[in-house]
Amino acid sequence: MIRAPRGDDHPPIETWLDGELGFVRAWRARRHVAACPRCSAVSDRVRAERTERRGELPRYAAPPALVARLSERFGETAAVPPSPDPIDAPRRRWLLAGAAAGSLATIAATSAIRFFSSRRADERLATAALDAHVRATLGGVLVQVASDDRHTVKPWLSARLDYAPPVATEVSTAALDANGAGDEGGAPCRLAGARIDELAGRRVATLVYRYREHVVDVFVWPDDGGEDRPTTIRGFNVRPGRGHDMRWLAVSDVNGAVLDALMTALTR
Amino acid sequence: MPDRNADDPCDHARFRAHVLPHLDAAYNLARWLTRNPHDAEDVVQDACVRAMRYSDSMRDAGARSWMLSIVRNAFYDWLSRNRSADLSFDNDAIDAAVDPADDPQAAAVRHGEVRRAVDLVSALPLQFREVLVLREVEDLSYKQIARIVDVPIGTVMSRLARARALLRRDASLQAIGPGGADSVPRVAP
Repeated sequence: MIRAPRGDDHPPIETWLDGELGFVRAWRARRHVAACPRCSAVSDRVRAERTERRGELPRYAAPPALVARLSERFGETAAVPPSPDPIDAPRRRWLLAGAAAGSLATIAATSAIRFFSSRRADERLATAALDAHVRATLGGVLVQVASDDRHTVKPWLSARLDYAPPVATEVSTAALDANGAGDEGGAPCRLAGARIDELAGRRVATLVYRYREHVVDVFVWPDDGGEDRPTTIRGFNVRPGRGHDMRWLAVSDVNGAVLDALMTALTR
Repeated sequence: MPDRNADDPCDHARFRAHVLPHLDAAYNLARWLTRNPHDAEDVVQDACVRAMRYSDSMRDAGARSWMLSIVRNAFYDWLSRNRSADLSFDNDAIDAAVDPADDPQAAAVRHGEVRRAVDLVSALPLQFREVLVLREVEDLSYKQIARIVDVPIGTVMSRLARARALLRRDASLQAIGPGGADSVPRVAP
């Protein structure tokens, strides 16, 4: 295997950093950049430029008044004006009783449907989170803002999302020692940066932590009432959490106990 | 295609499913293209009307891209109605626009204004601004951008490279700070 860079195959750094090179070329590019001083300097400079730019460019959110106006025009079924009621009182009582029974049946049916569809939904969510994690670690863009400073990461995220997720710089997993997590326990998870991912159709904040040599992705989005269960997919551990009015989902190849400790600390 | 009646309950459902979730993305693009909140609202409103008219043509997979391409079309129509003078997109015009001698950025630097990334991006010619915003603010892939802007992927890549080179040049112009026109070196894009 040739490790020294050849002069003629410097990879396209911008395209690589955009995550658009494809698996094999991205892998080669990463190896080349690690060994080539010129490309590594270019790559550092481009990364720094983009981090700075991304930190400064706002993603403008639609003003609430505009959303309200458009919803009223196109989306609001409740906006139908009430019609004068031609039904006399006794008949209305019967109708109301019937309607109440009907709604109870509807509520029961919808909760059953929601229960089953939410189970499918969190499996989909866990799989989507794992896909995002694998994509990022395999030569994709691991962090869009690389920083261990929460005063850099937090504003970067809140400028791009309509919420501001809590960002912890360093999370101790020391409590694990007592729980017998063996030689993996005790080391802290350190913030490495963040990126934005799309999970099940919505943009979510992804906090990237390092635990020894492992990468831990923590997805955070406002609590929407959904439920997740801890699971393991293809050897990766997926751990849900809830706290600070947010839903959390941690994905990594570290052992489950470390991930549990991280989630407990983050959602506390 | 016939106009739909806005009171049709199917339309309400369609709006909530396909348009409402992407209103922020729609507004963001419109805001960057028009460069002001008021016009952005007009463009988004027009885009929503069109989206409802063409909602048969949408597929779940690319709902955001679909919405953004409608916003973009609505914007260019708005532009041709309101500011037809700005609609000079042939390559000569672009080259002229990026000549350091007379570009607004260099002029601003000459006047000693300090401009931030927002202003630098806002000052980019439209063709470059739209791909840069779609890539770096909206986080879309080259393929999605190619679909929205309706050009080949290679064109997306070259416009993106050009946009970034212009930003780099403008940022370095800015770093040199205020001074006479002659003290501003020409940096190749």
